[in-house]
Amino acid sequence: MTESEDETGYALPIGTLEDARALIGKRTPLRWAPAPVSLGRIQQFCAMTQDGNTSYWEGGVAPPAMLEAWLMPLEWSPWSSTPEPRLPARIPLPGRSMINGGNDTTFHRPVEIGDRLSVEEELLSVSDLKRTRLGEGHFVETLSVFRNQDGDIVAEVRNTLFRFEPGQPS
Amino acid sequence: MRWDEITEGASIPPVVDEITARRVVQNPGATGDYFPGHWDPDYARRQGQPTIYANSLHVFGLLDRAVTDWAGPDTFVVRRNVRLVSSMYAGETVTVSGTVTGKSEENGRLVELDLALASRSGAVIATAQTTIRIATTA
Repeated sequence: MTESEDETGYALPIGTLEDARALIGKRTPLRWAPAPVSLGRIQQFCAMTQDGNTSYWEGGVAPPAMLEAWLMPLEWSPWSSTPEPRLPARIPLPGRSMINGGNDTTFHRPVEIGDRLSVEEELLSVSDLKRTRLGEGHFVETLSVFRNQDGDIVAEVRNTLFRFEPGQPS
Repeated sequence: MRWDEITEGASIPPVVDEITARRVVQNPGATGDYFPGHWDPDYARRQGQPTIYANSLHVFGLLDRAVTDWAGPDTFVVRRNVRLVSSMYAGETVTVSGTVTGKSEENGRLVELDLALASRSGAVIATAQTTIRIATTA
């Protein structure tokens, strides 16, 4: 890990491909959203996407694109001074950087104001070494199952991110 | 959008959006995603990127907005399968375009669309296949 990466406060766990693949199929413990779905957060998101959809502003429905936002760890709380990353950022691999590559989400029911979401995650696969425009690394595929406070499945997400070492070898 | 007016092969109105640095930095605050590529230009450059870029949720939000602006606020997104080809960088003007690829009434009124998010130069940032359920009152 370099000093400059420390300055950003973002360090990924380093390990081998075998370390990563040893985690395939193990499900994470249920993790709850820090707070229920709220209009304030919905407004912040829609102000960013400049989405005037009345069901978001006045109808109590959360934009589907906010799904992952409800489960983002807090930067600080009285109980934890360091955010605990979600599974995709906890896979030990050689690459010191990452970028998202694909996301396939199936929604089963709307997310509404007052809902408290949870997520369970599982590592599905880690690719062999690949090269992209950004560098060499591995594609990491995860499954996340989101439920509401009643235990009903809200959405299932298959996400693929590229975990890489920046720089093109000449 | 009325159900009987939806036809396969039809284009939906494009959404054009200016992604200023200010918009990109709204992103961590709005979503809680503080990955440094979304707010630290030096980190982004060390990743091999020209500058900071929007996170995935912003991209998904724009793709969804293009669909629901067209189909109406009661639209339910059933599935959104996105391939992130490049990144949506601060300073770009982007366009979401879409085409209706299918329509069925087997399990509610479902419409399938192909979507593309591209920069002004025409470079593709993301593509998606989205399935929506149209409200039965429409």
